[in-house]
Amino acid sequence: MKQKHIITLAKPLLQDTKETGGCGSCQSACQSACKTSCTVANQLCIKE
Amino acid sequence: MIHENIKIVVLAEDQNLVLDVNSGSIHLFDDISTKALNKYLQQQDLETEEELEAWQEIEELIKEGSLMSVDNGILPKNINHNIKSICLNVAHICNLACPYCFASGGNYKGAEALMTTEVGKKAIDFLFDNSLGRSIVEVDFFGGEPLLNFPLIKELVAYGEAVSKRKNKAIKWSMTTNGVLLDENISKFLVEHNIGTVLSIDGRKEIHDYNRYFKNHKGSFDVVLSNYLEFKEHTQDYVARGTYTSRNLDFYKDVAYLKELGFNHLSMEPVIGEKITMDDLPVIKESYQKLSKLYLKWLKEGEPLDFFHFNIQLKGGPCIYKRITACGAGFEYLAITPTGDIYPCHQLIEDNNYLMGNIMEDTFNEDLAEVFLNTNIYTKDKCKKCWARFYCSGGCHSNNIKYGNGLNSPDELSCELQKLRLEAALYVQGKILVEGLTADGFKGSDIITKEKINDLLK
Ligand code: SF4
Ligand code: SF4
Repeated sequence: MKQKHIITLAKPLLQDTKETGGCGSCQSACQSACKTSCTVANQLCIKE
Repeated sequence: MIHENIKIVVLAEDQNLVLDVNSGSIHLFDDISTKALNKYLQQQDLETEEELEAWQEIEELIKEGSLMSVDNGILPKNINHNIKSICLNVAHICNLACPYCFASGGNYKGAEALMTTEVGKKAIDFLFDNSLGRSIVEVDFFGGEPLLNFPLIKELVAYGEAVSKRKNKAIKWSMTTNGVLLDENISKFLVEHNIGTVLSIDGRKEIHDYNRYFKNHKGSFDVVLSNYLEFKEHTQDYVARGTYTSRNLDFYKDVAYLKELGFNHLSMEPVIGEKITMDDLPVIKESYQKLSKLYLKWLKEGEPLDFFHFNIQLKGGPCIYKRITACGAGFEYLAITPTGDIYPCHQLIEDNNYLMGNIMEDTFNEDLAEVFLNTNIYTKDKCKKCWARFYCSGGCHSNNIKYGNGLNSPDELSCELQKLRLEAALYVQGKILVEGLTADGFKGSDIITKEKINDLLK
């Protein structure tokens, strides 16, 4: 269907990573201020 | 309206970013489809032709799983929970006397101490020996002020690099410093050994000097600024970390100031428990909004800034496991004191309830590790209902213990700040996507870190 009111910008399929993710190679994410509070969202996946 | 599975951020007139929380999908809705979606969420009837037309489009998205998608709430299995990262508190002593320090001036309310070679090496052995199945481990030098024990850092880096080769497992180093001792010689070492460095500098001189002063109360701004300016000439692997307290709720000015000084990689942190209250939220929100506008302006002018907290990934980002369990304190991540005591996190060192064991005595409390392993967004009622859950990951355990109501009850103020920050980040990244903005050749700390890890893994 042609979408007139909605454009999809990104579809990362987060739920699928329950199967594919968890390699543990990305940087540890610490939210403590003194370590710049790296929330997980601030990171890239190493495999992508 | 606030909904646990949908977050809407207004980008401009007739342009609304719609985040489907469980799938991570991002859509751009016009005002009509947004109205239809809101009516659906509030269980109201659709009225106009246009709303019904938009609803058909919404239904398509629901069918394909990119809107109102579900999460089964089950933690993925077969995940490696072994230790990956240690925080080595090489110095429980500091050369500054910042009143807002969570570590009570560097000694964590205990005796002042420097870590010995013996403890440091044993901690590194512990990390390598217990990180089964991992291809990379991490060591963070921390304190107090870690550079007060620079000889040990040098020794441990040499030691860690040798073990890394022998065990065929990569090692990634990092450090947080107050900058006072960061001279040419030390800078050279940090750059040569790929030690990612967090540089503490609060913002404008008067803001910095108000909290970050020497024991004689003289501000440290001038000393650390000149050290940092020299250091950053030689590396991009740094983040200058600003701080906001109730004194600089207009922290966007501090970010702008630090950028003007030439720092391209910046972050700005609230000091939780430091006089900021819920009443300050409107002003803080305004500051994040002003900062997002500035950020986009700089980007368009070809003068991009890497602002750490705006680097959220809309198109991918970490896997869901990472988003559910976050920092991994207590099992993946441990902090080790100069005497070898093990804690789940550097922020919990003052609290004896969380003493997990001692490196030198070969003791480790697996039960406590298990408690942390079983604390994640699926165990926190508040997080289960929060739209920010896959970005925030349930907050900081230590803040939740100290300022909230325990491990499973996130601190209210931290939550509100987190959501303000994430909303601003969604706005910025949404604008970037919609307007197709790019920062040619400029790398943010997310990309720098990823490239570094890939290099180390080669
Ligand atoms: S508990 Fe908080 S401070 Fe400690 S490692 Fe986790 S996020 Fe960082
Ligand atoms: S800690 Fe707070 S902001 Fe974070 S996911 Fe939980 S409820 Fe949301």
